[in-house]
Amino acid sequence: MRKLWIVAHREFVERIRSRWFIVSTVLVPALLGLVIFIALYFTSRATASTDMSHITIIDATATGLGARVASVLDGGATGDTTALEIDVAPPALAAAESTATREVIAGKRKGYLVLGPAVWPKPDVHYAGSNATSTIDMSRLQRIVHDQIIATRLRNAGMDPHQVDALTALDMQMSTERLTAHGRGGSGELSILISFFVAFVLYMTIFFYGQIVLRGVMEEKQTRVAETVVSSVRPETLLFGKILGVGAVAAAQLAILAIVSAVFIGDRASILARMHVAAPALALPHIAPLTALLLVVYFILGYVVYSALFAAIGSMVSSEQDAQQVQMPVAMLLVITALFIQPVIFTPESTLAEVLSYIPFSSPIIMPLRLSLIPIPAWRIALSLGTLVAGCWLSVWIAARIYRTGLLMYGKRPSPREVLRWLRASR
Amino acid sequence: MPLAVSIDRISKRFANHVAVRDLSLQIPTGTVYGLLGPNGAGKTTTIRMILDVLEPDSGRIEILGAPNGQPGVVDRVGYLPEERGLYRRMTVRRVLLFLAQLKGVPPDAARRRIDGWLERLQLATPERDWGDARVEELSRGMQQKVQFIGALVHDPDVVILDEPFSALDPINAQALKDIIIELKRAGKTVIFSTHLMESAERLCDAVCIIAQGTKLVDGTLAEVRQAHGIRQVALAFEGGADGPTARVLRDPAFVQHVDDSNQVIEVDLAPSADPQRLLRALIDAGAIVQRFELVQPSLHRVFVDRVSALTPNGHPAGGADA
Repeated sequence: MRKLWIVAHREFVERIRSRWFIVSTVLVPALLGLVIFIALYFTSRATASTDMSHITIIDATATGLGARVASVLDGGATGDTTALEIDVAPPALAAAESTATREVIAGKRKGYLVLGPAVWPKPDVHYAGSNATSTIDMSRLQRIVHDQIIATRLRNAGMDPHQVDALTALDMQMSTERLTAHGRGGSGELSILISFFVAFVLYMTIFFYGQIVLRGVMEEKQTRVAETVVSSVRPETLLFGKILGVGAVAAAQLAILAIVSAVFIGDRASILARMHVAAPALALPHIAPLTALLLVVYFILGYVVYSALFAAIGSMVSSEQDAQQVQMPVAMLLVITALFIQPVIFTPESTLAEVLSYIPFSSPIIMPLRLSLIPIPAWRIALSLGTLVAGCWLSVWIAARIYRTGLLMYGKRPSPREVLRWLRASR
Repeated sequence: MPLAVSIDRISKRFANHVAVRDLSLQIPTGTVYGLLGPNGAGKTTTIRMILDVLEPDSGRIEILGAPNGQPGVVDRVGYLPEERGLYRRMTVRRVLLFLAQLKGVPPDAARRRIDGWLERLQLATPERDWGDARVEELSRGMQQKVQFIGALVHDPDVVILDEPFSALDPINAQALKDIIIELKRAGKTVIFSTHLMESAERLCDAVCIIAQGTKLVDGTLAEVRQAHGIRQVALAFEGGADGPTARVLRDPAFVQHVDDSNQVIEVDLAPSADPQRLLRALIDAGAIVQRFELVQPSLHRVFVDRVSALTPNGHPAGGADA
């Protein structure tokens, strides 16, 4: 145990001290932050779209509805009115429309909004334009027209215009929230996004640190330092020490990422305001402590399953090319699992998702994903964890056998048949 | 004398060949012991089994009276592998501290010893302290010195060196030789494998020659030479050996085998030959004898004879370097 600690300690300290660690620890959160910032930046720009003020409004209602829509579109009374508002008599409507169509096609205007003659009982409103597919713009336009028609009706019914303005001034956005057996779970869309993010981070982390274990083992073998070390410790100790040490580095890096994210999310309004970006209203899903704990357990076990196999591969090969080829089967297990993330997000209760939760190679990624989406009975979680622990044990057993033989074998890479023999052989 | 290493009939078979076959060795404490054999003889496999890196298929190994698999036993052994390497990106002091800690040396004591060794091997001088440099910044010779320190920093009772003199520059070879002698004076046991007979002959108290995984002969240097059972004469003539002199040297009544190395001619006497009569015959043949010396066969000679007796061409086909 003491030697295991010394090996793991060396692995951890040397990696933490390396330039690589500092760069990647700073760079990964910085890049993530940048991506999120850019997304928010464009989202906030998109909601304040100026495109809508460059449309033609053809108003045949003879109620001033078009003018009011134009003024709201341009940001109210103080807005710079660039929308072209044309009042027409109903018979001239068709001619005005075809003129507007030509202008849009010629690129002079974004589009045109037609307000038909009647605001009662059924208003005839339609829009045509190059930006008709922009859902944000269209839903905003629809809302504005809708509100203004109601206001117009109220005025026509004899209500005081000021009172109408006061009563119809309503800025409302519906927030969505997910309800589960465990209670409220935050915004529905957001929880899917966060689940996806968690699964993706798990996948990336397991892959990335598995690779680091592989390269570490390969380096020890290539520089022959392994031979010196295994004269003091059992090969298994060196193997587990490496997995443990690199795992601690992964944990440290994830912890830093988590803390930075927590600070940022907690204080996002003031940070974003300083960058002149509106903070989105986030109803963060509430993650139960038990779910969080399970997430950590799945990450640890998943990391062990894969890093042990990657370590075994590192001990088998003597060159970079061999490493690339031999690790393919193991890497494929991970990649295939990642391909299932999307189907599982949309149908977390399907048989496919269920089966993937009991396979030790996919459950470390699929199960946390499902846990964050739907309630799962305790016995199923236990079964999934059971198969994963068994998978862990098997993977470590295989890895230890390959490792202790492979580590001191040089020359050509072993054939699958030889590797099978290593599995049976004693040291 | 208690045994530093006792090997009792160990065997090790790999997939395609038998690396070690029924090998027994007794290595007394305080000796310098040579494990001699051609490439692929099973020396490295034997050493790895002593260190419990490999497990023998059968047989037992004890170090200082305890089974080598017992916890803490290999901590009393220092090992310099044939293929040397260190963590390249670590600083010298940190690598050495790591190796010392693996052998159970407390960090403070380890640091003191490391500093002592760095000074002794001139890796830390008033001008330049290489201890804080990364291993990859060091020259090959300096890296070899660091590796020596790594094998010795925990003050082991038994030191095992696998082909220590191969790929060493003369300065480091001299330094290593001095270290070996010093360890011997301090009562430590030094076991080294080599295929260089000259260094074995100069250093070893006892040797074992193995080939194809089998022990051919072992014992003290004198025993091994004597057991070889040939009588040799080293000869040198003014003006070389030609004509009548050469004829005498070819006479089977006197001579079994001649090995002419230009400056010295080594002659194996025929079983019944009398060296005095050989000398007389040479003088009668007109040779001007500069040197006529009854010698023990060299280790080199013993080695070549024993190993080539095993395989006709003298170079047994070795397995992989395992």
